[in-house]
Amino acid sequence: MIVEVDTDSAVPPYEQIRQQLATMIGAGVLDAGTHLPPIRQLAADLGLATNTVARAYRELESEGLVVSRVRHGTTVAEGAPGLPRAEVRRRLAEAAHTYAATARQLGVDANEAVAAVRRELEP
Amino acid sequence: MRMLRYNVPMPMVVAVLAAAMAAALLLVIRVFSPEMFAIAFLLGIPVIVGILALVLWWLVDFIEVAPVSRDRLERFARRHDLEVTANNGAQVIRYLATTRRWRSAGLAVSLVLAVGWGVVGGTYRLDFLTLFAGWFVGALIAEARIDHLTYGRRRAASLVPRRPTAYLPSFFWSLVPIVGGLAALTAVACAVLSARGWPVAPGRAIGWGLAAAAVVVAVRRMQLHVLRRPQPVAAPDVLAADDAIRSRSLHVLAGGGATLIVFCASGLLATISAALGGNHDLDTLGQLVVFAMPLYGWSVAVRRWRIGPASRVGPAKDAPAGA
Repeated sequence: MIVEVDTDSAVPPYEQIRQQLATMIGAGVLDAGTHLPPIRQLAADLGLATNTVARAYRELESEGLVVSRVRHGTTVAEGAPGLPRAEVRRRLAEAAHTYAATARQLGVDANEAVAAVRRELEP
Repeated sequence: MRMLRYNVPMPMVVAVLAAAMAAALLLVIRVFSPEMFAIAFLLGIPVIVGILALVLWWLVDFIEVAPVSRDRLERFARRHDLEVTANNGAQVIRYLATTRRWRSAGLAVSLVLAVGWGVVGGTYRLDFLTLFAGWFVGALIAEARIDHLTYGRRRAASLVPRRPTAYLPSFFWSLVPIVGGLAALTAVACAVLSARGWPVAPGRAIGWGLAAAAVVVAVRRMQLHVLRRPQPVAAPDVLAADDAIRSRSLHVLAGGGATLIVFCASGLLATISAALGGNHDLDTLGQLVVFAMPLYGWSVAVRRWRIGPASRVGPAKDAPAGA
């Protein structure tokens, strides 16, 4: 599991991190009790200031998605509000719709578009 | 730099020949004019120390430009079951070259200082502790200068926490605090004896105690620095090499740091022994520790260790292939 940050994006890095972690927790990819990396580690690995990652963690904590404890680090909260399966499917369909529209605008055929998605999904 | 055959730097050869000539001249003066020997000896000391410094300078320079041998690379790979590839080879070689350069520079500086200090004191004793401390300071500097992996256009990071136990046995991770605690207990014993009126040399006790504390703090901080060194997502073989480098660094810091702290603790033991009027058991214990600990520290530093799979993450599509 990885988290990505685009430093050229208009979305602030802390919000990018928050969104990705919230999605993973909501979809059940990160189970309750899963340890998140320490703030300093994630900040160093992403080349960001520690305050940026700390803010993302703080926001997740205020949403009740993670719990931070001194000397125990940050873990995914028990009973964190997960997304229902139908909601996961709806979001996926929405993202696919946007991607398909972009592929059509670029004049890319279906096979090429699917191949690009498959490349991104490969481990 | 001009080289002779076998890549020996020319200035180093000149310096060795000059040192040999200076020593021969002193011998001749001693044989034919013993009354002049003392003056010649005193005048010769700075020359010999200077030449020694020059030899070591060029030796370090020579080591710096010398290529990392295939044997050394293979030994490193074997210790971590690492497959050296076209992607990660340069990364490992750079690590080995950086550590060798700074460790040998630390050793060379400490050798010059030890000889110079001994000459000032009128002795030609070479102290192992000084040499080892110099080598270890070089090792600490090297760790601070190791390059981390470079970031890609889109920055990506694993969500797996890096735990020390993935990189070395948990006992080795605890080794520095454990021996630091033992040194602290020895320092407390010194303080108690002093408070009860025993003639503990306060300067020596405080000096060794502070030295031990400084080493504990420096080594622990550097271990955490190594653990937190950035590791953005990259190709699996590059990450494997990065993990192996991290593991080797932590092993060397644990073994070397623990050895240095034990040396400081043995200095405290010697202070207690002197205060008790030469306690035979304490002296024996101190000598045993001074001989055994470097061997144990060495075994810790070179121990084979397979990195735990938990520290591995998949590659990102636009992550850099090299470090």
